[in-house]
Amino acid sequence: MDFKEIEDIVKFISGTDIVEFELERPNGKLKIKRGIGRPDIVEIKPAVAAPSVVTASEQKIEEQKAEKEAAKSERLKQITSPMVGTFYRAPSQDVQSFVEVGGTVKKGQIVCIIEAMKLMNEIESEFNGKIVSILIENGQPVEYGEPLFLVEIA
Amino acid sequence: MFHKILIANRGEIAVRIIRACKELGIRTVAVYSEADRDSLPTRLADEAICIGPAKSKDSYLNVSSIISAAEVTDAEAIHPGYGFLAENAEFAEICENCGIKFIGPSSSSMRLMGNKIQAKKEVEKLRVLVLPWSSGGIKDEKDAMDIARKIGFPVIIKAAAGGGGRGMKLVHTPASFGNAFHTAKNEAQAAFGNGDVYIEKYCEAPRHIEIQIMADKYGNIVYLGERDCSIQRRHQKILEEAPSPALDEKLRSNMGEAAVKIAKAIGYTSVGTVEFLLDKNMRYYFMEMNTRIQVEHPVTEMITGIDIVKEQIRLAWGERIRFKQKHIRIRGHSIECRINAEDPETFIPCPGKITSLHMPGGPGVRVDSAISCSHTVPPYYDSLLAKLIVYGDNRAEAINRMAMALDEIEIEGVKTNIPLHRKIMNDHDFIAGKVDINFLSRFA
Repeated sequence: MDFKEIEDIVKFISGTDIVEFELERPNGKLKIKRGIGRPDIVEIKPAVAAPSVVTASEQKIEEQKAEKEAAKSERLKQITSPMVGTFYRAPSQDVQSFVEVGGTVKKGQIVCIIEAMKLMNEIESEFNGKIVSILIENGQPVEYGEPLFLVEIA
Repeated sequence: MFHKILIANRGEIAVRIIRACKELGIRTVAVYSEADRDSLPTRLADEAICIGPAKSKDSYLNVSSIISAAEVTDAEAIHPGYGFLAENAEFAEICENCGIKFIGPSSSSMRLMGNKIQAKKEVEKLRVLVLPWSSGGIKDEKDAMDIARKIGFPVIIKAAAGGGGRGMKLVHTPASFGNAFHTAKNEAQAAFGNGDVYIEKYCEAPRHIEIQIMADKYGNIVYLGERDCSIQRRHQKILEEAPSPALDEKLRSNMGEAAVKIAKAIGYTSVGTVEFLLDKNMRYYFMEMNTRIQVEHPVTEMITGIDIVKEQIRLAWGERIRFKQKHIRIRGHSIECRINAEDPETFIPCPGKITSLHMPGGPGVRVDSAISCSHTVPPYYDSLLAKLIVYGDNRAEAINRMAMALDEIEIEGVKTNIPLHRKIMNDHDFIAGKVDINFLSRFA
């Protein structure tokens, strides 16, 4: 299961009422548990591979691939909510969103608004990179520490 | 009735409030810090929202976070429990301004009673006795010394913005007065943001007797009897009982009526507790009024059969008190032991992971707690693990039942004060009802 697939699934789930989702494939198992007002739990269990004869060169390629994957997940950071409030993707209605998936973002750049007690709080990115995923729907309530964006850091 | 209430607290009192809401058919929102993720209140409530990191000031004392949480969940009311924001008049006012019902009295009542100097002045006007005092705050040391001499040593220096046993300095002799006065002012400023202090005569070996009152917004006020909370360590209660072995019917009704008179005079609504000291001559002196639900409310519930938290919520909704004073009957005897995660000898708090847990039960045994096995007691908040409450037909039966319950209770993984409570249950003076606020210091 590659990252893009997981990201697509997470995005898809976010837009529905689904509370628990489990997907099993030969290469692994994905379990997502959404809490209303609670942080989502995403569990990824790689399949335990059956022992097989692997040649030296095949092993090297596998290692390189694993390193690449690990490096990729290390480069993935979350922007989390510093407060309780309502998440908005744009400064006001009918105006363009601050960021889109695939767009680049710089440290300090405003990525969204969290409205609390009638005050609009601009939330800034702590990272330079690319928006890989937007985890919250426009107008949804968020709690302290809730992941808002996945950013692949440059 | 409210549709949804947000509980701005944690631990056992959050559980208590959630239970009362459930019985009333009200949906509940629990707020929690990162240290309380997966805690019992978050599992029992219909919704749970993380409001901040572990430190109280960033979570349970974080007004904007809590108000936001109420807004995003559409909670119509906030119950503050005890401690944290429960007696924070600014918070109550912010709730009022945001159209959220604060389950408690008005912010003006809280402000008045929260300032201990103002509170005493109000009560003096009603001819309820207060201990000889400075009749106001004192700014300089010379005035203070004169007043102290006039009152007569020993005296206590108290913070105007203090309360709950905090911000008090006992001074026995004029020689130590100067130092104590300055320290008291500095500590008051640091702890409460207000360096105003007053001086009061020190009462020798009194009992701490408090009266539970309840008031609706139509002017009906009743008292639910007294609690004797004399067993304290450094002014923190560890064991409470109701009724007090020291009171007879006449004294009970006199003190009850005094408490009601005070509540009426200040236009108080919701539940509250008026605290008195009872001296050896059976004279009672007003000390302070607590404008919140108290930790030890269960003992009053056991002897009156009244669910104080449910009534508090009904009162907040605007209902009338459903009973008259003559209908309130006190039956039997109840004792509560506060089980804390602390070293039984040094009293140092001992947070940690609970490895084994068994709570007692049976007739007349009640446990109010939020802990469970493999629960980790966080170090950021108070050390209360559980309130162990018993009821008996009379005081002897209650003591016996508590002794059995303390025998049965098991909490492993953290140190607790259970051994101390067992000693108290076996103590000759305690069994004879001979306690005063110095009991525990004589005890060790």
